[in-house]
Amino acid sequence: MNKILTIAQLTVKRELRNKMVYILLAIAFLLIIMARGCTAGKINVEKTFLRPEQIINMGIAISFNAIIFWGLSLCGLLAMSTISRELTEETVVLTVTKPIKRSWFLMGKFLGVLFIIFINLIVLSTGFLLLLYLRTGVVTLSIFSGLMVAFLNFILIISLIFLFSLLLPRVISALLALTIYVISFGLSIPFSFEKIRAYWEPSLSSQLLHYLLPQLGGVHLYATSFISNYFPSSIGFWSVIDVVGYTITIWLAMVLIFQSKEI
Amino acid sequence: MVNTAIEVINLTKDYISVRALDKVSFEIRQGECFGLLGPNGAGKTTLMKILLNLIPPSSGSAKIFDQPIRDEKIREKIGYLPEKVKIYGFLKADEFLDYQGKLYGMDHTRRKKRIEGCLKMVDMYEERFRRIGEYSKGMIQRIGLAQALLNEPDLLLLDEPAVGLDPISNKEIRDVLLKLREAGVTIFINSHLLSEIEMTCDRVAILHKGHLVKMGTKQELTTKGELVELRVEGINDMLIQKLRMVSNQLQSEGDLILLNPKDEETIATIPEIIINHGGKLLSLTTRTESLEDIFYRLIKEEEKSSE
Repeated sequence: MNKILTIAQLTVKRELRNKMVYILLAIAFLLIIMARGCTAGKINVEKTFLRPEQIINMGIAISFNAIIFWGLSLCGLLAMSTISRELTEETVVLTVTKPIKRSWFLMGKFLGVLFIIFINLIVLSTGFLLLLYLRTGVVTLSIFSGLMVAFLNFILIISLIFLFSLLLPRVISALLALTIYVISFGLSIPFSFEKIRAYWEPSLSSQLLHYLLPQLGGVHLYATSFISNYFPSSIGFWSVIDVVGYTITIWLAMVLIFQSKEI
Repeated sequence: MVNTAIEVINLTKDYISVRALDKVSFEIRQGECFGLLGPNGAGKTTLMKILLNLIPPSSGSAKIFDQPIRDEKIREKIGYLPEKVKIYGFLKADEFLDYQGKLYGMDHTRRKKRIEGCLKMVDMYEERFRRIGEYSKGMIQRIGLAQALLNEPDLLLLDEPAVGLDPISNKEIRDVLLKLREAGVTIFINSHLLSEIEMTCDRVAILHKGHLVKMGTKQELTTKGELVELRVEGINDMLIQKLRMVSNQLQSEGDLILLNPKDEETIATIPEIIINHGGKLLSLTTRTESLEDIFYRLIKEEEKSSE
Protein backbone atom coordinates (compact mmCIF):
# COMPACT_ATOMS: atom_id res chain seq x y z
CA MET A 1 0.00 0.00 0.00
CA ASN A 2 2.89 2.38 0.82
CA LYS A 3 4.28 1.97 -2.68
CA ILE A 4 0.87 2.74 -4.22
CA LEU A 5 0.64 5.89 -2.09
CA THR A 6 4.19 6.86 -3.14
CA ILE A 7 3.14 6.68 -6.80
CA ALA A 8 -0.09 8.56 -6.02
CA GLN A 9 1.87 11.28 -4.20
CA LEU A 10 4.16 11.79 -7.19
CA THR A 11 1.15 11.87 -9.51
CA VAL A 12 -0.44 14.63 -7.42
CA LYS A 13 2.82 16.57 -7.48
CA ARG A 14 3.06 16.20 -11.24
CA GLU A 15 -0.56 17.00 -12.04
CA LEU A 16 -0.62 20.05 -9.77
CA ARG A 17 1.92 21.54 -12.16
CA ASN A 18 -0.73 21.41 -14.88
CA LYS A 19 -1.82 25.04 -15.35
CA MET A 20 -5.11 23.94 -16.91
CA VAL A 21 -6.28 22.66 -13.50
CA TYR A 22 -6.12 26.18 -12.11
CA ILE A 23 -7.66 27.75 -15.19
CA LEU A 24 -10.60 25.34 -14.98
CA LEU A 25 -10.99 26.01 -11.26
CA ALA A 26 -11.04 29.76 -11.86
CA ILE A 27 -13.66 29.39 -14.62
CA ALA A 28 -15.81 27.20 -12.36
CA PHE A 29 -15.67 29.76 -9.53
CA LEU A 30 -16.55 32.51 -11.96
CA LEU A 31 -19.57 30.55 -13.17
CA ILE A 32 -20.76 29.93 -9.62
CA ILE A 33 -20.45 33.61 -8.76
CA MET A 34 -22.42 34.46 -11.89
CA ALA A 35 -25.01 31.75 -11.05
CA ARG A 36 -26.09 33.68 -7.96
CA GLY A 37 -28.49 35.43 -10.31
CA CYS A 38 -30.41 32.13 -10.48
CA THR A 39 -31.49 32.57 -6.88
CA ALA A 40 -33.11 35.96 -7.47
CA GLY A 41 -35.96 37.33 -9.55
CA LYS A 42 -39.16 35.65 -10.70
CA ILE A 43 -39.44 32.43 -12.72
CA ASN A 44 -42.67 31.53 -14.54
CA VAL A 45 -43.12 27.75 -15.09
CA GLU A 46 -46.37 26.56 -16.77
CA LYS A 47 -48.11 29.85 -15.87
CA THR A 48 -47.20 29.44 -12.19
CA PHE A 49 -44.71 31.70 -10.49
CA LEU A 50 -42.20 29.62 -8.54
CA ARG A 51 -41.90 30.31 -4.85
CA PRO A 52 -38.56 31.80 -3.66
CA GLU A 53 -37.49 28.48 -2.06
CA GLN A 54 -38.22 26.71 -5.37
CA ILE A 55 -36.07 29.25 -7.19
CA ILE A 56 -33.27 28.69 -4.69
CA ASN A 57 -33.63 24.90 -5.16
CA MET A 58 -33.36 25.36 -8.90
CA GLY A 59 -30.22 27.48 -8.45
CA ILE A 60 -28.70 24.83 -6.21
CA ALA A 61 -29.49 22.07 -8.75
CA ILE A 62 -27.96 24.09 -11.60
CA SER A 63 -24.83 24.85 -9.59
CA PHE A 64 -24.55 21.23 -8.45
CA ASN A 65 -24.67 20.05 -12.05
CA ALA A 66 -22.15 22.72 -13.02
CA ILE A 67 -19.81 21.32 -10.35
CA ILE A 68 -20.31 17.78 -11.69
CA PHE A 69 -19.62 18.79 -15.28
CA TRP A 70 -16.61 20.74 -14.14
CA GLY A 71 -15.41 17.62 -12.29
CA LEU A 72 -15.89 15.61 -15.47
CA SER A 73 -13.82 18.08 -17.48
CA LEU A 74 -11.08 17.79 -14.90
CA CYS A 75 -11.30 13.97 -15.05
CA GLY A 76 -10.83 14.13 -18.82
CA LEU A 77 -8.01 16.63 -18.65
CA LEU A 78 -6.00 14.82 -15.99
CA ALA A 79 -6.73 11.17 -16.76
CA MET A 80 -6.02 11.38 -20.47
CA SER A 81 -2.35 12.22 -19.96
CA THR A 82 -1.58 10.45 -16.68
CA ILE A 83 -0.78 7.03 -18.13
CA SER A 84 -0.09 7.93 -21.75
CA ARG A 85 2.50 10.57 -20.83
CA GLU A 86 4.31 8.07 -18.60
CA LEU A 87 4.42 5.67 -21.53
CA THR A 88 5.40 8.12 -24.26
CA GLU A 89 7.99 9.90 -22.12
CA GLU A 90 9.20 6.49 -20.85
CA THR A 91 9.30 7.71 -17.25
CA VAL A 92 7.30 4.57 -16.41
CA VAL A 93 10.41 2.41 -16.96
CA LEU A 94 12.20 3.37 -13.74
CA THR A 95 8.99 2.79 -11.78
CA VAL A 96 7.87 -0.60 -13.09
CA THR A 97 11.40 -2.02 -12.91
CA LYS A 98 11.21 -1.62 -9.15
CA PRO A 99 9.73 -4.35 -6.92
CA ILE A 100 6.11 -3.40 -7.60
CA LYS A 101 3.24 -5.03 -9.47
CA ARG A 102 2.10 -3.18 -12.56
CA SER A 103 -1.39 -2.97 -11.11
CA TRP A 104 0.06 -0.98 -8.21
CA PHE A 105 1.37 1.56 -10.68
CA LEU A 106 -2.10 1.94 -12.21
CA MET A 107 -3.69 2.18 -8.78
CA GLY A 108 -1.19 4.82 -7.66
CA LYS A 109 -1.81 6.92 -10.75
CA PHE A 110 -5.55 6.50 -10.33
CA LEU A 111 -5.54 7.52 -6.67
CA GLY A 112 -3.40 10.55 -7.49
CA VAL A 113 -5.86 11.81 -10.11
CA LEU A 114 -8.84 11.00 -7.90
CA PHE A 115 -7.31 12.92 -5.00
CA ILE A 116 -6.86 16.09 -7.07
CA ILE A 117 -10.44 15.89 -8.31
CA PHE A 118 -11.72 15.23 -4.80
CA ILE A 119 -9.89 18.24 -3.35
CA ASN A 120 -11.06 20.47 -6.21
CA LEU A 121 -14.67 19.37 -5.72
CA ILE A 122 -14.50 20.05 -2.01
CA VAL A 123 -13.02 23.51 -2.62
CA LEU A 124 -15.61 24.32 -5.25
CA SER A 125 -18.57 22.98 -3.27
CA THR A 126 -17.50 24.80 -0.12
CA GLY A 127 -17.10 28.01 -2.12
CA PHE A 128 -20.54 27.53 -3.59
CA LEU A 129 -22.14 26.84 -0.19
CA LEU A 130 -20.51 29.94 1.23
CA LEU A 131 -21.82 32.09 -1.60
CA LEU A 132 -25.28 30.54 -1.27
CA TYR A 133 -25.32 31.21 2.48
CA LEU A 134 -24.21 34.82 2.06
CA ARG A 135 -26.84 35.40 -0.63
CA THR A 136 -29.84 33.50 0.77
CA GLY A 137 -28.99 32.31 4.28
CA VAL A 138 -29.63 28.71 3.12
CA VAL A 139 -27.23 25.89 4.07
CA THR A 140 -27.51 22.72 1.95
CA LEU A 141 -25.06 20.14 3.22
CA SER A 142 -26.84 17.45 1.19
CA ILE A 143 -24.73 18.66 -1.74
CA PHE A 144 -21.89 16.59 -0.26
CA SER A 145 -24.06 13.41 -0.25
CA GLY A 146 -24.91 14.10 -3.90
CA LEU A 147 -21.24 14.60 -4.74
CA MET A 148 -20.31 11.34 -3.00
CA VAL A 149 -22.71 9.48 -5.30
CA ALA A 150 -21.52 11.43 -8.34
CA PHE A 151 -17.97 10.49 -7.40
CA LEU A 152 -18.77 6.93 -8.52
CA ASN A 153 -19.18 8.32 -12.02
CA PHE A 154 -15.84 10.11 -11.79
CA ILE A 155 -14.18 6.86 -10.74
CA LEU A 156 -15.63 5.05 -13.74
CA ILE A 157 -14.80 7.86 -16.18
CA ILE A 158 -11.16 8.00 -15.00
CA SER A 159 -10.95 4.20 -15.26
CA LEU A 160 -12.40 4.31 -18.79
CA ILE A 161 -9.95 7.01 -19.88
CA PHE A 162 -7.04 5.06 -18.35
CA LEU A 163 -8.12 1.93 -20.22
CA PHE A 164 -8.66 3.73 -23.52
CA SER A 165 -5.35 5.59 -23.21
CA LEU A 166 -3.53 2.24 -23.09
CA LEU A 167 -4.88 1.53 -26.55
CA LEU A 168 -5.71 4.87 -28.18
CA PRO A 169 -4.31 8.41 -28.46
CA ARG A 170 -4.98 10.35 -25.27
CA VAL A 171 -7.33 13.01 -26.64
CA ILE A 172 -9.48 10.36 -28.33
CA SER A 173 -9.52 8.39 -25.06
CA ALA A 174 -10.89 11.35 -23.12
CA LEU A 175 -13.40 12.28 -25.80
CA LEU A 176 -14.61 8.71 -26.09
CA ALA A 177 -15.17 8.34 -22.34
CA LEU A 178 -16.94 11.71 -22.08
CA THR A 179 -19.09 10.85 -25.12
CA ILE A 180 -20.18 7.66 -23.35
CA TYR A 181 -21.12 9.84 -20.36
CA VAL A 182 -23.15 12.26 -22.46
CA ILE A 183 -24.97 9.47 -24.34
CA SER A 184 -25.70 7.62 -21.11
CA PHE A 185 -26.97 10.83 -19.50
CA GLY A 186 -29.19 11.66 -22.47
CA LEU A 187 -30.62 8.15 -22.68
CA SER A 188 -31.35 7.97 -18.95
CA ILE A 189 -33.71 11.01 -19.10
CA PRO A 190 -36.76 9.27 -20.66
CA PHE A 191 -36.18 6.27 -18.41
CA SER A 192 -36.14 8.45 -15.29
CA PHE A 193 -38.91 11.01 -15.88
CA GLU A 194 -42.39 9.67 -16.49
CA LYS A 195 -43.65 13.04 -17.81
CA ILE A 196 -40.90 13.07 -20.45
CA ARG A 197 -41.68 9.49 -21.44
CA ALA A 198 -45.16 10.68 -22.39
CA TYR A 199 -43.61 12.74 -25.17
CA TRP A 200 -40.46 10.70 -25.91
CA GLU A 201 -40.78 6.93 -26.06
CA PRO A 202 -37.22 5.59 -26.60
CA SER A 203 -36.72 3.49 -29.73
CA LEU A 204 -35.53 -0.12 -29.50
CA SER A 205 -31.96 0.88 -30.39
CA SER A 206 -32.01 3.62 -27.72
CA GLN A 207 -33.24 1.10 -25.18
CA LEU A 208 -30.53 -1.36 -26.20
CA LEU A 209 -27.84 1.32 -25.94
CA HIS A 210 -29.21 2.45 -22.60
CA TYR A 211 -28.88 -1.02 -21.12
CA LEU A 212 -25.52 -1.75 -22.77
CA LEU A 213 -23.75 1.42 -21.67
CA PRO A 214 -22.85 2.01 -18.03
CA GLN A 215 -25.68 3.77 -16.17
CA LEU A 216 -23.69 6.98 -15.67
CA GLY A 217 -26.76 9.09 -16.40
CA GLY A 218 -28.81 7.17 -13.82
CA VAL A 219 -26.16 7.78 -11.15
CA HIS A 220 -25.93 11.45 -12.15
CA LEU A 221 -29.70 11.94 -11.74
CA TYR A 222 -29.65 9.92 -8.52
CA ALA A 223 -26.90 12.20 -7.16
CA THR A 224 -28.96 15.27 -8.08
CA SER A 225 -31.98 13.80 -6.29
CA PHE A 226 -30.11 14.35 -3.00
CA ILE A 227 -30.41 18.10 -3.39
CA SER A 228 -33.62 18.51 -5.37
CA ASN A 229 -36.96 16.76 -5.24
CA TYR A 230 -37.46 17.38 -8.96
CA PHE A 231 -35.02 14.57 -9.76
CA PRO A 232 -35.94 10.90 -9.41
CA SER A 233 -34.18 8.52 -7.03
CA SER A 234 -36.11 5.41 -8.08
CA ILE A 235 -33.51 3.96 -10.48
CA GLY A 236 -30.56 5.12 -8.36
CA PHE A 237 -29.73 1.89 -6.56
CA TRP A 238 -29.54 -0.21 -9.72
CA SER A 239 -27.56 2.48 -11.52
CA VAL A 240 -25.04 2.51 -8.69
CA ILE A 241 -24.73 -1.30 -8.82
CA ASP A 242 -24.31 -1.11 -12.62
CA VAL A 243 -21.58 1.56 -12.44
CA VAL A 244 -19.70 -0.29 -9.70
CA GLY A 245 -19.87 -3.49 -11.78
CA TYR A 246 -18.59 -1.67 -14.84
CA THR A 247 -15.75 -0.10 -12.84
CA ILE A 248 -14.60 -3.52 -11.58
CA THR A 249 -14.76 -4.96 -15.11
CA ILE A 250 -12.85 -2.01 -16.60
CA TRP A 251 -10.16 -2.38 -13.93
CA LEU A 252 -9.74 -6.08 -14.62
CA ALA A 253 -9.38 -5.37 -18.35
CA MET A 254 -6.99 -2.48 -17.67
CA VAL A 255 -4.72 -4.56 -15.42
CA LEU A 256 -4.67 -7.45 -17.92
CA ILE A 257 -3.79 -5.14 -20.82
CA PHE A 258 -1.17 -3.19 -18.87
CA GLN A 259 0.47 -6.37 -17.57
CA SER A 260 1.04 -7.65 -21.08
CA LYS A 261 1.98 -4.26 -22.49
CA GLU A 262 5.50 -3.96 -23.85
CA ILE A 263 7.31 -1.01 -22.29
CA MET B 1 22.99 -21.27 -1.89
CA VAL B 2 22.20 -20.10 -5.43
CA ASN B 3 25.32 -19.70 -7.56
CA THR B 4 23.64 -18.58 -10.73
CA ALA B 5 22.60 -14.96 -10.94
CA ILE B 6 20.93 -15.12 -14.36
CA GLU B 7 19.79 -18.21 -16.22
CA VAL B 8 18.42 -17.78 -19.72
CA ILE B 9 17.02 -20.83 -21.51
CA ASN B 10 16.06 -20.82 -25.20
CA LEU B 11 14.76 -17.28 -25.00
CA THR B 12 13.02 -16.22 -28.19
CA LYS B 13 11.29 -12.94 -29.00
CA ASP B 14 9.37 -12.48 -32.20
CA TYR B 15 8.04 -9.20 -33.49
CA ILE B 16 5.72 -9.01 -36.48
CA SER B 17 8.47 -8.72 -39.06
CA VAL B 18 11.61 -9.79 -37.25
CA ARG B 19 12.93 -12.32 -34.74
CA ALA B 20 14.73 -10.17 -32.17
CA LEU B 21 16.03 -13.11 -30.14
CA ASP B 22 16.48 -16.66 -31.36
CA LYS B 23 16.73 -19.40 -28.72
CA VAL B 24 19.32 -17.57 -26.64
CA SER B 25 20.68 -19.54 -23.69
CA PHE B 26 23.38 -18.63 -21.19
CA GLU B 27 24.17 -18.40 -17.50
CA ILE B 28 25.80 -15.68 -15.47
CA ARG B 29 27.40 -16.69 -12.21
CA GLN B 30 27.08 -14.65 -9.04
CA GLY B 31 29.82 -12.06 -8.64
CA GLU B 32 30.66 -12.17 -12.32
CA CYS B 33 30.90 -9.17 -14.62
CA PHE B 34 29.33 -10.23 -17.88
CA GLY B 35 29.31 -8.22 -21.07
CA LEU B 36 26.83 -8.65 -23.89
CA LEU B 37 28.27 -7.31 -27.10
CA GLY B 38 26.51 -6.78 -30.34
CA PRO B 39 25.96 -4.29 -33.12
CA ASN B 40 22.88 -2.05 -33.06
CA GLY B 41 19.72 -4.11 -33.48
CA ALA B 42 21.37 -7.33 -32.26
CA GLY B 43 18.70 -7.85 -29.57
CA LYS B 44 20.70 -6.75 -26.51
CA THR B 45 18.12 -4.30 -25.16
CA THR B 46 15.29 -6.75 -25.90
CA LEU B 47 17.06 -9.37 -23.80
CA MET B 48 17.55 -6.97 -20.92
CA LYS B 49 13.93 -5.81 -21.08
CA ILE B 50 12.75 -9.42 -20.94
CA LEU B 51 14.89 -9.97 -17.84
CA LEU B 52 13.18 -6.98 -16.23
CA ASN B 53 9.72 -8.17 -17.26
CA LEU B 54 9.24 -5.04 -19.38
CA ILE B 55 8.41 -7.20 -22.38
CA PRO B 56 7.26 -10.82 -22.41
CA PRO B 57 9.27 -13.44 -24.32
CA SER B 58 7.62 -15.33 -27.19
CA SER B 59 9.06 -18.57 -25.83
CA GLY B 60 11.76 -19.82 -23.51
CA SER B 61 12.36 -18.82 -19.93
CA ALA B 62 14.66 -16.83 -17.70
CA LYS B 63 15.40 -16.84 -14.00
CA ILE B 64 17.18 -14.39 -11.75
CA PHE B 65 18.63 -15.82 -8.54
CA ASP B 66 16.61 -18.94 -9.31
CA GLN B 67 13.31 -17.01 -9.26
CA PRO B 68 11.09 -16.50 -12.30
CA ILE B 69 11.50 -13.02 -13.78
CA ARG B 70 7.76 -12.30 -13.42
CA ASP B 71 8.12 -12.32 -9.63
CA GLU B 72 8.36 -8.64 -8.67
CA LYS B 73 10.13 -9.46 -5.37
CA ILE B 74 13.24 -10.47 -7.30
CA ARG B 75 13.62 -6.85 -8.40
CA GLU B 76 14.43 -5.88 -4.79
CA LYS B 77 17.90 -7.28 -5.56
CA ILE B 78 18.28 -5.65 -8.97
CA GLY B 79 19.58 -2.26 -9.98
CA TYR B 80 18.84 -1.20 -13.55
CA LEU B 81 20.27 1.57 -15.67
CA PRO B 82 18.36 1.93 -18.96
CA GLU B 83 19.99 3.07 -22.17
CA LYS B 84 17.97 6.27 -22.15
CA VAL B 85 17.43 7.46 -18.60
CA LYS B 86 14.04 9.20 -18.50
CA ILE B 87 13.35 10.99 -15.23
CA TYR B 88 10.67 13.47 -14.11
CA GLY B 89 12.26 16.81 -14.93
CA PHE B 90 10.32 18.71 -12.25
CA LEU B 91 11.93 16.73 -9.42
CA LYS B 92 15.24 17.47 -7.77
CA ALA B 93 17.80 14.66 -7.72
CA ASP B 94 17.29 13.89 -4.03
CA GLU B 95 13.48 13.91 -4.44
CA PHE B 96 13.73 11.50 -7.35
CA LEU B 97 16.03 9.15 -5.46
CA ASP B 98 13.74 9.34 -2.43
CA TYR B 99 10.83 8.29 -4.68
CA GLN B 100 12.90 5.41 -6.05
CA GLY B 101 13.95 4.38 -2.53
CA LYS B 102 10.31 4.26 -1.42
CA LEU B 103 9.52 2.01 -4.38
CA TYR B 104 12.28 -0.33 -3.19
CA GLY B 105 10.55 -0.35 0.22
CA MET B 106 13.52 1.25 1.99
CA ASP B 107 12.88 2.97 5.33
CA HIS B 108 13.54 6.70 5.82
CA THR B 109 16.91 6.33 7.59
CA ARG B 110 18.28 3.92 5.01
CA ARG B 111 16.98 6.05 2.15
CA LYS B 112 18.64 9.16 3.50
CA LYS B 113 21.95 7.38 4.00
CA ARG B 114 21.91 5.66 0.62
CA ILE B 115 20.82 8.77 -1.30
CA GLU B 116 23.75 10.70 0.14
CA GLY B 117 26.16 7.81 -0.53
CA CYS B 118 24.98 7.20 -4.10
CA LEU B 119 25.01 10.90 -5.03
CA LYS B 120 28.55 11.17 -3.72
CA MET B 121 29.54 7.99 -5.56
CA VAL B 122 28.42 9.42 -8.90
CA ASP B 123 29.79 12.87 -8.02
CA MET B 124 26.38 14.57 -8.04
CA TYR B 125 26.01 15.43 -4.34
CA GLU B 126 26.60 19.14 -4.89
CA GLU B 127 23.94 19.23 -7.60
CA ARG B 128 21.22 17.47 -5.61
CA PHE B 129 19.01 20.53 -5.08
CA ARG B 130 18.77 21.40 -8.77
CA ARG B 131 15.81 20.27 -10.84
CA ILE B 132 16.62 17.29 -13.07
CA GLY B 133 15.16 19.18 -16.04
CA GLU B 134 18.18 21.51 -15.83
CA TYR B 135 20.73 18.66 -15.95
CA SER B 136 22.94 17.77 -18.91
CA LYS B 137 22.70 14.32 -20.51
CA GLY B 138 25.79 13.14 -18.65
CA MET B 139 24.38 14.33 -15.30
CA ILE B 140 21.10 12.51 -15.95
CA GLN B 141 23.08 9.37 -16.76
CA ARG B 142 24.86 9.72 -13.41
CA ILE B 143 21.54 10.10 -11.57
CA GLY B 144 20.37 7.02 -13.48
CA LEU B 145 23.36 5.12 -12.14
CA ALA B 146 22.72 6.47 -8.62
CA GLN B 147 19.15 5.10 -8.65
CA ALA B 148 20.45 1.75 -9.91
CA LEU B 149 22.83 1.55 -6.95
CA LEU B 150 20.36 2.87 -4.36
CA ASN B 151 19.15 -0.50 -3.08
CA GLU B 152 22.68 -1.97 -2.83
CA PRO B 153 21.80 -4.45 -5.58
CA ASP B 154 23.16 -7.97 -5.86
CA LEU B 155 22.68 -7.73 -9.60
CA LEU B 156 23.29 -4.66 -11.70
CA LEU B 157 21.81 -4.52 -15.20
CA LEU B 158 23.36 -1.78 -17.32
CA ASP B 159 22.13 -1.04 -20.81
CA GLU B 160 24.73 0.95 -22.74
CA PRO B 161 26.02 2.75 -19.62
CA ALA B 162 28.58 4.81 -21.54
CA VAL B 163 26.17 6.30 -24.08
CA GLY B 164 26.27 10.10 -24.03
CA LEU B 165 29.08 10.34 -21.51
CA ASP B 166 32.24 12.33 -21.99
CA PRO B 167 35.54 10.42 -21.52
CA ILE B 168 36.00 11.69 -17.94
CA SER B 169 32.48 10.68 -16.83
CA ASN B 170 32.98 7.40 -18.65
CA LYS B 171 36.14 6.64 -16.70
CA GLU B 172 34.54 7.63 -13.40
CA ILE B 173 31.57 5.37 -14.02
CA ARG B 174 33.89 2.55 -15.05
CA ASP B 175 35.79 2.99 -11.78
CA VAL B 176 32.50 2.73 -9.86
CA LEU B 177 31.70 -0.50 -11.70
CA LEU B 178 35.12 -1.96 -10.98
CA LYS B 179 34.65 -1.19 -7.27
CA LEU B 180 31.26 -2.89 -7.32
CA ARG B 181 32.73 -5.91 -9.07
CA GLU B 182 35.36 -6.15 -6.35
CA ALA B 183 32.56 -5.98 -3.77
CA GLY B 184 30.98 -9.08 -5.35
CA VAL B 185 28.08 -7.46 -7.19
CA THR B 186 27.03 -9.35 -10.33
CA ILE B 187 27.15 -6.98 -13.27
CA PHE B 188 25.52 -7.52 -16.64
CA ILE B 189 26.48 -4.87 -19.21
CA ASN B 190 24.97 -4.42 -22.65
CA SER B 191 27.20 -2.43 -24.91
CA HIS B 192 28.48 -1.93 -28.39
CA LEU B 193 31.55 -0.13 -27.00
CA LEU B 194 34.12 -2.89 -27.03
CA SER B 195 36.78 -1.09 -25.01
CA GLU B 196 34.25 -0.60 -22.21
CA ILE B 197 33.48 -4.30 -22.00
CA GLU B 198 37.13 -5.30 -22.39
CA MET B 199 38.15 -3.22 -19.39
CA THR B 200 35.39 -4.34 -17.01
CA CYS B 201 34.04 -7.78 -17.89
CA ASP B 202 35.18 -11.27 -16.91
CA ARG B 203 33.16 -12.97 -19.63
CA VAL B 204 31.65 -11.82 -22.87
CA ALA B 205 28.85 -13.02 -25.11
CA ILE B 206 28.43 -11.81 -28.65
CA LEU B 207 24.91 -11.39 -29.96
CA HIS B 208 24.19 -10.83 -33.63
CA LYS B 209 20.74 -10.62 -35.21
CA GLY B 210 19.23 -12.37 -32.21
CA HIS B 211 21.74 -15.25 -32.24
CA LEU B 212 24.26 -15.88 -29.52
CA VAL B 213 27.38 -16.17 -31.67
CA LYS B 214 29.95 -17.00 -29.03
CA MET B 215 30.47 -16.76 -25.29
CA GLY B 216 33.50 -17.05 -23.04
CA THR B 217 36.39 -15.21 -21.43
CA LYS B 218 38.51 -13.06 -23.69
CA GLN B 219 41.17 -15.79 -23.64
CA GLU B 220 38.62 -18.41 -24.69
CA LEU B 221 37.44 -16.27 -27.58
CA THR B 222 40.90 -15.29 -28.77
CA THR B 223 42.41 -17.29 -31.63
CA LYS B 224 45.54 -19.15 -30.69
CA GLY B 225 48.76 -17.44 -31.75
CA GLU B 226 49.44 -13.94 -32.81
CA LEU B 227 47.72 -11.72 -35.30
CA VAL B 228 49.69 -10.28 -38.18
CA GLU B 229 48.63 -6.92 -39.54
CA LEU B 230 49.93 -6.15 -43.01
CA ARG B 231 49.78 -3.04 -45.13
CA VAL B 232 50.26 -4.04 -48.73
CA GLU B 233 50.21 -2.15 -51.99
CA GLY B 234 48.90 -4.05 -55.03
CA ILE B 235 46.70 -6.63 -53.34
CA ASN B 236 45.37 -9.18 -55.80
CA ASP B 237 43.27 -12.33 -55.64
CA MET B 238 46.23 -14.68 -56.10
CA LEU B 239 48.08 -12.99 -53.23
CA ILE B 240 45.08 -13.30 -50.93
CA GLN B 241 44.66 -16.94 -51.95
CA LYS B 242 48.30 -17.71 -51.13
CA LEU B 243 48.09 -15.91 -47.78
CA ARG B 244 44.91 -17.82 -46.93
CA MET B 245 46.87 -21.08 -47.39
CA VAL B 246 49.20 -20.11 -44.53
CA SER B 247 46.49 -18.63 -42.26
CA ASN B 248 43.79 -19.90 -39.95
CA GLN B 249 41.78 -16.75 -40.62
CA LEU B 250 42.24 -13.81 -42.92
CA GLN B 251 40.40 -10.51 -43.35
CA SER B 252 41.28 -7.85 -45.86
CA GLU B 253 39.98 -4.34 -46.33
CA GLY B 254 41.63 -1.79 -48.63
CA ASP B 255 45.39 -2.14 -48.28
CA LEU B 256 45.05 -3.77 -44.85
CA ILE B 257 45.31 -7.53 -44.32
CA LEU B 258 44.77 -9.08 -40.90
CA LEU B 259 45.66 -12.74 -40.59
CA ASN B 260 46.16 -15.37 -37.95
CA PRO B 261 49.14 -17.48 -39.18
CA LYS B 262 49.00 -21.26 -38.90
CA ASP B 263 52.31 -21.30 -37.00
CA GLU B 264 55.02 -18.93 -35.90
CA GLU B 265 57.43 -19.97 -38.68
CA THR B 266 54.89 -18.85 -41.27
CA ILE B 267 55.33 -15.20 -40.27
CA ALA B 268 58.83 -15.17 -41.75
CA THR B 269 57.52 -16.41 -45.12
CA ILE B 270 54.85 -13.72 -45.48
CA PRO B 271 57.05 -10.97 -47.04
CA GLU B 272 58.30 -13.44 -49.62
CA ILE B 273 54.75 -14.50 -50.55
CA ILE B 274 53.74 -10.86 -50.99
CA ILE B 275 56.74 -9.94 -53.17
CA ASN B 276 56.42 -13.13 -55.28
CA HIS B 277 52.80 -12.27 -56.07
CA GLY B 278 53.25 -8.70 -57.17
CA GLY B 279 52.55 -6.94 -53.89
CA LYS B 280 54.61 -4.31 -52.11
CA LEU B 281 54.85 -4.75 -48.34
CA LEU B 282 54.47 -1.38 -46.60
CA SER B 283 54.40 -2.61 -43.02
CA LEU B 284 54.12 -5.81 -40.95
CA THR B 285 53.18 -5.80 -37.30
CA THR B 286 52.30 -8.62 -34.94
CA ARG B 287 49.93 -8.30 -31.96
CA THR B 288 47.52 -10.31 -29.85
CA GLU B 289 43.83 -10.26 -30.77
CA SER B 290 41.83 -7.48 -29.10
CA LEU B 291 38.16 -7.78 -28.23
CA GLU B 292 37.45 -5.56 -31.22
CA ASP B 293 39.26 -8.08 -33.47
CA ILE B 294 37.37 -10.96 -31.89
CA PHE B 295 34.05 -9.16 -32.27
CA TYR B 296 34.71 -8.23 -35.88
CA ARG B 297 35.91 -11.73 -36.75
CA LEU B 298 32.98 -13.50 -35.10
CA ILE B 299 30.37 -11.19 -36.62
CA LYS B 300 31.91 -11.64 -40.09
CA GLU B 301 32.05 -15.43 -39.62
CA GLU B 302 28.40 -15.42 -38.54
CA GLU B 303 27.39 -13.31 -41.53
CA LYS B 304 29.26 -15.65 -43.90
CA SER B 305 27.71 -18.78 -42.42
CA SER B 306 24.19 -17.29 -42.65
CA GLU B 307 24.64 -16.35 -46.32
